[in-house]
Amino acid sequence: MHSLAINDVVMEYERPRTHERVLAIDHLSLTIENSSFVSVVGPSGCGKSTLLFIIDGLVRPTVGSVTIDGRQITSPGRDRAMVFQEASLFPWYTTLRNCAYGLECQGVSRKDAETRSRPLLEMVGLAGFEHHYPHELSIGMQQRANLARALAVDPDVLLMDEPFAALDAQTRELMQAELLGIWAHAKKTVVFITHQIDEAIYLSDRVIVMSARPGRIIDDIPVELERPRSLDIKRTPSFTALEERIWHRLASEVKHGGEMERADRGVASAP
Amino acid sequence: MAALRRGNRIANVAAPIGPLDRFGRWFGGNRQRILPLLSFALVALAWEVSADIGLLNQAFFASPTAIVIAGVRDVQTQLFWGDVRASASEFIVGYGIAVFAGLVFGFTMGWFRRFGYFFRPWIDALNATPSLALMPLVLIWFGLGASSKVAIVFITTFVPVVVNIYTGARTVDQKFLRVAAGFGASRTFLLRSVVVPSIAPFGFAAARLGVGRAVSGVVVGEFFSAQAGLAYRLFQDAQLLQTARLLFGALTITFLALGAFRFVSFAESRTLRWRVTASGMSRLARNA
Repeated sequence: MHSLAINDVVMEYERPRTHERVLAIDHLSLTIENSSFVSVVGPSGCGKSTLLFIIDGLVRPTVGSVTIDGRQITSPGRDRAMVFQEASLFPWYTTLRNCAYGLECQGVSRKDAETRSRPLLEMVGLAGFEHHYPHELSIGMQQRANLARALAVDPDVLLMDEPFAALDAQTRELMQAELLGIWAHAKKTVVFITHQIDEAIYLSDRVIVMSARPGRIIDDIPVELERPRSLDIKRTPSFTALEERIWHRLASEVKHGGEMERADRGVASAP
Repeated sequence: MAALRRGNRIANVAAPIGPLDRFGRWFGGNRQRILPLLSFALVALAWEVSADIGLLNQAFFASPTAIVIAGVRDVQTQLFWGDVRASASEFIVGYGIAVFAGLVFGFTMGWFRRFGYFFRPWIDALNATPSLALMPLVLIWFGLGASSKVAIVFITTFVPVVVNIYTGARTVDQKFLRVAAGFGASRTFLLRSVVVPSIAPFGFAAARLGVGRAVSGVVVGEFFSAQAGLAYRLFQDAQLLQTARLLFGALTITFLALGAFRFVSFAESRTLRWRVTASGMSRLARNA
């Protein structure tokens, strides 16, 4: 049973000011095979990010559990690493030190951690930028460094929370292709949260469609496109057919969830 | 550029550059340095002329030259340097203790919620109190010696430092704490890698703010009671209507305070290199 399993997870939290109970995730179960690439799409505020935080162990579910190869997750661990949505590099550290951060957290000395991080920076195309501070990098480069930081701890599971959302279209496509390249080498389990349907299909073995809040799985679509995939695949009929299917599945949910999103923007990620 | 502005468009562009153009270019490149000096020189000149032609009563407004003459005479005396030593040591001791204690206390308040809630009303009340008004009480507690001056410096400086650091500790970005937690950072490593760097800019802001507060403390303290000190001498000079010496004394205080301010800024630019480069970038962007 080599897999990541989300077992009947319910997430409920209380709004800080109003003390209103909010159901963010409603009885969600999902099993992800090792080394597979799974994307989760859904309307804003559907609990996608919360789900990722639960898998990372940053947030405890109200009910249910997450297991990796049978072991239950209670806190963040070395087998998982998160690539956060926003520019979450520490502005006070250089790119190299940022990349080495996870290793330093594990008690590796700064020198060793930096030595081990250099090849990763190279892999994401940041060689020569080791001693730049984050604000001296473009947003695309910052997200590469962000990815390198997560890969540096050599996790089994990579959790990515809309990592390319802030990028322009061209950079995003390039990063998608590069991510696939890296994933093909590293063979890690990836859980990838995104808004972009084409991004989800292009990258994944499987696309999970979530409902508007409370988040449930409303569709689970295997993507049987051949790998390695070039960016041209996005224009093939089988690709667009998948796109169509997911889009229709989401459209009703987005319409339904639109008002909810306006009422409480942003609370889903801060339980 | 100058040719363009005069309206002779293409014809004059290749013409030889006149001395006026050269001056304009030099001035444009250095205006950040020239204009402050010019402003200072003009005021001094106006002041000097008004004093010389009798527009200003020299007894109340010593002219700049009179201040310079008094200053040259002053710096050759033991008395002056004794005053500098007395004031500087009151400042350094009071300020040093206040900043250090303020850092520790403010951080503890920000980091341990209950501790913060418990002391918050006292800090807020003290922050709203014009602490210099406590000087008579400080005299009762600490007597007439140097310790009362150190005490008033401490009281005026400590509170704003605490408030700043407290705010800094409360506003550490959740996003960064989450990253550290996600990578399983230990509590001490989290403190070192996230909290301290997050608070550091607040610490330096507090230290800079504290300089002005501490100088006020020294001055008020010496006005009340002292045997030596720059502000004490200033008070004496005023009673003897020695305005030239008085103004020289005031300038000395300004100068020393500026020096302390510069020192803190220098330490900041050294410590927070990531911030210095950030502001350098924004300057580039402004000039572009």
